[in-house]
Amino acid sequence: MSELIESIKNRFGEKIVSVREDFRPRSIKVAVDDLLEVMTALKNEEVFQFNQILDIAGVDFLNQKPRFLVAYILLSTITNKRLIVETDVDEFESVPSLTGVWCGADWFERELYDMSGIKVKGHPDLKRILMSEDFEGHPLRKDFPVRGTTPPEQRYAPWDKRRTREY
Amino acid sequence: MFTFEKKKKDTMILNMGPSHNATHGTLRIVLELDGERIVNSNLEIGYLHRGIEKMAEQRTYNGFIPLTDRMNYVSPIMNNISYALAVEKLLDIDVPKRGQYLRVIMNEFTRIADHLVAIGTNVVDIGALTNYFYFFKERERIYDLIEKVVGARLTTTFTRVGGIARDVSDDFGSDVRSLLKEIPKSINDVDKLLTKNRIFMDRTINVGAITQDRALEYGFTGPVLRATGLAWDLRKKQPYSSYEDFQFDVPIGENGDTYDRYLVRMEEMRQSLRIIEQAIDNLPGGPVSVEDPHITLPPKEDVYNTMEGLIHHFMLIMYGIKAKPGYVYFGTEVANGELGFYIVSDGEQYPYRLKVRPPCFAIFQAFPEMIKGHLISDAVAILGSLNIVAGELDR
Repeated sequence: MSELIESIKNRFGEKIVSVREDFRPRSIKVAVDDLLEVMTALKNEEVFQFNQILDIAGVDFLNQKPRFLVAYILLSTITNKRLIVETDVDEFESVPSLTGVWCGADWFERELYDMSGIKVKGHPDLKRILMSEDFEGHPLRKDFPVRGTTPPEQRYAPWDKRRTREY
Repeated sequence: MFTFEKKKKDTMILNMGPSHNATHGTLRIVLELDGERIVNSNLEIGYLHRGIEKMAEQRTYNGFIPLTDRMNYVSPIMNNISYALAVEKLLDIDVPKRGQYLRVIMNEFTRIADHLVAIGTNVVDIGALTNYFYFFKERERIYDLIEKVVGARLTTTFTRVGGIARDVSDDFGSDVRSLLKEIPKSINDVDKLLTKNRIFMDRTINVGAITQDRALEYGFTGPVLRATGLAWDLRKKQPYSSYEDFQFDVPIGENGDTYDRYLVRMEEMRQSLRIIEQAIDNLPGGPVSVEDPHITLPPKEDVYNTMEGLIHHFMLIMYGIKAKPGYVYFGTEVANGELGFYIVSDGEQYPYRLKVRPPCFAIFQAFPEMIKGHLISDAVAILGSLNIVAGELDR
C-alpha cells in the first residue's frame, strides 16, 4: 500500500468505501454524503495538500445501481502526487458542489451537469455550458442516441418570447 | 441566450463574438462597461462543440487519434502524443527509445509552433504586425518538416498506440539541424523588437495579472501558471516519454501578467530548441513501435507474404486493441498546460468512457476575474496571452 493511501485510510477510516491501487493514479471511493468533508480535508490538510482540481468526469453505467460514477481528478503541486476520488450517485441524486473548496470546479461541474445530467447541489450558476440552453437530453449518457436526432428548430420570430435569441 | 443583469444604471452592455477578430475562434464574451472600463463580464462557450468524447465511445483506440488532431488545431501532434501515452499507460506498455525520442522532437517543434502562433497573434491584436510575419515564416518551416514526416500539415495523426505511424526518412537529421539554425534568428529578432519596447511594455505589464494562489485554485497549468512564479512543468516533475534524459530549464515569471506570459513563452521556445538538439544528437536506432501483434500492425512484407502477418493485420483492423477493464488518467505538458485523458475501459475494443481535460477550459473560466477593471483593448491583449483554442475548449 502506498504512503498516500495509508495516510488517507488513517485519516478518514470508515469513510473510504474502497481503494484501487492497480491503476494510475490511485483512486479512493467515498459516499456522496462524505464527499465535501473529504475533499475539504484533502485540499487543506498538511499531509495531502491537493491544491488543484484538474477535471471532473461522469461515467454512466446504464444498467447498474447506482447509475453514475463521478471521478474527481486531483493534483498536488506541493507533494507532486495525483489522486482520483470517486463517488457513486444515482440518476435523481445530486453531488455537492466543490466550488467552495476550489473555485475552478465551477465550469467542470457545469460540464458534468450538461454532459451527464448529474445535478450539483449548491452550485452558484448551474446551467449548460457546451450545449445550447434549449437542448434536450444529456449527450454522454449511454441511452443518448449517437445519431438520429435533429436539433430543435431555431425560430427567430421576435414575438415568440421563449425562443427569441437575445443579443 | 443568457440574461445579463445590469448592476448599475449607467453601464453599457457590449457583445464580443462569437465571431470576432480578436477571439481567434468562436467564443462569446459579453462585457458590462462603465465608460471604457470593464465592470463585469459573462462568457459563453460551446460554439465549436463536436461531441468528440461521445464519438470516442464508438471508435477503436487507434480510431480516435484523427479526432485528437481536431482538438488543439494549433499543435495537433501534441494531442496525438498525449492520447497515445494515455492509452499506452492503460495497456501498460513502453514505446522503444527511438519512438520516444522522435516523439520528443516532434513534440517540441509543435510546442514552438504553438508558441509562435500564441505570441504572434497576441501582438497583432495589440498592434505590432511585423513580429507576426517573422514568426509565421518560422512556423511555415516547422510545418514543412511536419509535412515531410507525417504527410499532412494540420491533421497529422502522427502517433499510433504503441509508437508512431512510420519511421522518419534519412534526411530528417539534416532538416532538423537546419531548422535549429533558423528558428533562433527569428526569436532573437522579435526579442529585440518587443521585449524592451516601450509601447509593448505599457500595454502588457500589470495587465491581466493573477496571483499564484488563485491560479492554482482555478486549475491553471502551463505557461500561464509558470508566469505567476511556480516552476511546475510535468516534463520535469513527472517525466514521460524520456524527458528525464534531457537538460532544460523551466522559465518562470513573477507577476503572472501578460508580459510575463510573453517572456515565459519566448524562453520556452529556446529551451525546446535545446531539447531538440540533444534528442537529435543522441537519436537511438531500432524500431519506433512496440513489436506486439496485438497492438501494432505488422510490417507490410509480413502481411503480404506470411499467413500470421495477414491474420494479425486482419484481427487488429477488424477488432482493434483490447484493454483490460480499468481506468487511467494521464496528463502531459502541452503548449497550453496539462492535457489529460481519463479513459475508462470495460475490456472491449472501444473505450467505455473517454474524458478530455483541456488546459484552456480551466484557464478561460478565470477570464472575467482577469479583465475586471481593465479596458476593452486590454481584454483583447489578455485573451491573446491566454492562447485559448476553441477547438480544445469545446471539444
